[in-house]
Amino acid sequence: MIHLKKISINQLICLVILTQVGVSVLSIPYAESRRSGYDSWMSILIGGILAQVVIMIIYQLGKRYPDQSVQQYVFTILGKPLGSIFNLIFALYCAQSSVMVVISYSDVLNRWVLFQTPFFVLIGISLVVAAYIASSTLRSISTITQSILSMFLICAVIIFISGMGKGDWRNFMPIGTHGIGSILKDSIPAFWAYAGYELLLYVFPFVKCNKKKDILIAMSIANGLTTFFYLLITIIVTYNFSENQLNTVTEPMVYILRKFRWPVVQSLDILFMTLWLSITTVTVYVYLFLSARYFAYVGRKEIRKHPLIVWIIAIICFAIGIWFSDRQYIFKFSDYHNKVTMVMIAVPTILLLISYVREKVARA
Amino acid sequence: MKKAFILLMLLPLLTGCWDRLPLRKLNLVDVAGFDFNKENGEIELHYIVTKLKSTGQGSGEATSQITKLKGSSLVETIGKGQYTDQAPFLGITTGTYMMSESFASNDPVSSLDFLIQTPYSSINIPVVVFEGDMAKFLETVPKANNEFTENLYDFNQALEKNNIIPNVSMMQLILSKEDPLTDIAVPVMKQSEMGVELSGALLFRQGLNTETKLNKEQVQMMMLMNGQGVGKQRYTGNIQENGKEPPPTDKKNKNNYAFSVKKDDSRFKFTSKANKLPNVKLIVQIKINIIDLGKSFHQNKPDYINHMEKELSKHLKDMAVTTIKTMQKANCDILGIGKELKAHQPEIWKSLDWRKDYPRMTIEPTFDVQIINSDVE
Repeated sequence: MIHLKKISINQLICLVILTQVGVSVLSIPYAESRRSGYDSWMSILIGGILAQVVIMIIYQLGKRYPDQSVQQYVFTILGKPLGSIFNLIFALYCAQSSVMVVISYSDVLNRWVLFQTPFFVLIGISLVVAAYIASSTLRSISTITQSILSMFLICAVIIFISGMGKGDWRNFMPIGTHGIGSILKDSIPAFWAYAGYELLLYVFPFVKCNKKKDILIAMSIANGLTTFFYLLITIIVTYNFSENQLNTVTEPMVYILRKFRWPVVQSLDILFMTLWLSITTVTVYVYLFLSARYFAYVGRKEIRKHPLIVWIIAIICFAIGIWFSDRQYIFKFSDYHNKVTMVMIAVPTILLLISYVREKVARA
Repeated sequence: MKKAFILLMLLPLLTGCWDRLPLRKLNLVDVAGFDFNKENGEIELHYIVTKLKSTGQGSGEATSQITKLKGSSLVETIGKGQYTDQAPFLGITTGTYMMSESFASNDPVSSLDFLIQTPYSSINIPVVVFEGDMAKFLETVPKANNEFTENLYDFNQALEKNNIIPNVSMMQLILSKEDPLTDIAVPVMKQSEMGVELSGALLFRQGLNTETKLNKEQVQMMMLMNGQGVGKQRYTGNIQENGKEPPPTDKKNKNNYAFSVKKDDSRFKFTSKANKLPNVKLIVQIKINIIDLGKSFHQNKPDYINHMEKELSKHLKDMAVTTIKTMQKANCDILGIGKELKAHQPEIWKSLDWRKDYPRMTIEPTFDVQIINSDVE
């Protein structure tokens, strides 16, 4: 029932872009400039290239099993018990990603917009909306995401308008003085910001296309647009803040929005953050949906009650999320989540290698 | 029925229940004045809140309410605001931040930097320094002149729009402390009957007051040298030919000038020799529309224009030299020479101890003035 209808190439692009961009937009390129300073735009670019490499790996893996999603073909590659463990781990990882996004953005809202609203209310609202959407079909989710794209475009315009004006292009100069080592090291936190492409592991067989290569092209376009968007933000931030100033401004985009003067809207940051909630919601419901799909395949038989699984996961996420009202815990959780992401990204590569080896052994 | 029940249950979750800000009950601050009392070391804060009385359709009488608060620090002083019957104050639409001279001299950024982290605080609002007794001014003028706050807001915008002097926002002032290469000139205002007038600009080095003020003419030169002179504003003055000022009664030889700038390009040229400080050449090329140039307009013939272009270039250069000397004496790099060196001449930059070397460097401005509205013969 969940995936009777396929999604179009355009819908895939929308889904991937909006799953990739999220809370990190407000903090880019703070974490990415700790070593590379004003050369952080290069780290962001390299991060995008790394994400593209992972997309290629996932595509190669999907191409080998064009009619199955990862939850199904993992059993062929790893066998029944390991396949179940794989699905369980990925389900937990996706649920964890949902919690991460929800608590991070609730924290942002709590600090800048809604100070008196209790933390659990912010988390509750985010999860209720996300779970309601995630409990529907992939096709419905994609359609909703397409509508939310208009919000994303409005936000992109706001970012662009507020970022121009007073600034200094000399903040970028002299180019490349931080050294290739520093730039490469900072491309790792940049790479985390691109998470979301792993969606392809699941959606690969559900994309309507003439050739399977169209999927790779669509994924590359989506990742390319995300990279361009992140690059644009990094350029705007570096144009506005010198390296020394950036060291004290942990959420540079918030300050760029706050410094903008416009007689019609006094606090553009508040408007932006409210609109941006819809973008982070996409990431939350996509991960909730994926988590439920992975859970469905943990047992011997596929569990067909998708909405029920989504709501159960959402309730668990809520129960975990309410403990993160203290920012210190969020930072620790974020560190842990980033490490887990690195491990999870290695999994498709391992699966691809195993499937190659199995094929060779079978042929021999 | 079930859906309706769920929707009703969700209603209390709407965030507006907690974070609503009823507009009527807020005191939106138009001007926030910061003063430092040297005698008792207290910070004084003056809030001006404008309210409309006898409101009708599109009309109403504006009245300014002034609240004065005192405390040992600015944060504490603002905190005291919540205990007054005027509260709550909200800086969300603050029009202007005004600092007294004593406050500006007393490490203002350290007192103000909390605003950066404070949600709903206006950090995009211009900061000005008030020359004279600010406390007395704010207690009397806004009450006498109902339009003062609005005029001040418009005046600040006009200064920026017409390129007379760029506004310095609260965020720029606070963050300038973090960057050794972002020195700023904060507009200085003084009382003019029932309002204010621009008196110059106070130079700040890394968020600290250098106690050096540029006068209005020097502010004009600063704008021209920064390549920001284009605008409707008039540059006026008097050229002293052969270095002699004609007596005020000598109207015949008096070369009054007035022009507006159509194009303003400025660039640096650096030359360096081993073990010596680099020489900086500031080349300013301006295209101007002359409004008055000594002689009556019908005499603006090419020969005279060419002569006056040279005279004007020399005159502006002399004024620029004095302005640069003032900036160097204050060790304040408003022209961004340090940024330019770091960005484009990294080798020279590495050999410098910037704050030590900048005041000793030779900075030579040259002006190339081109009058573009001369008569064609």
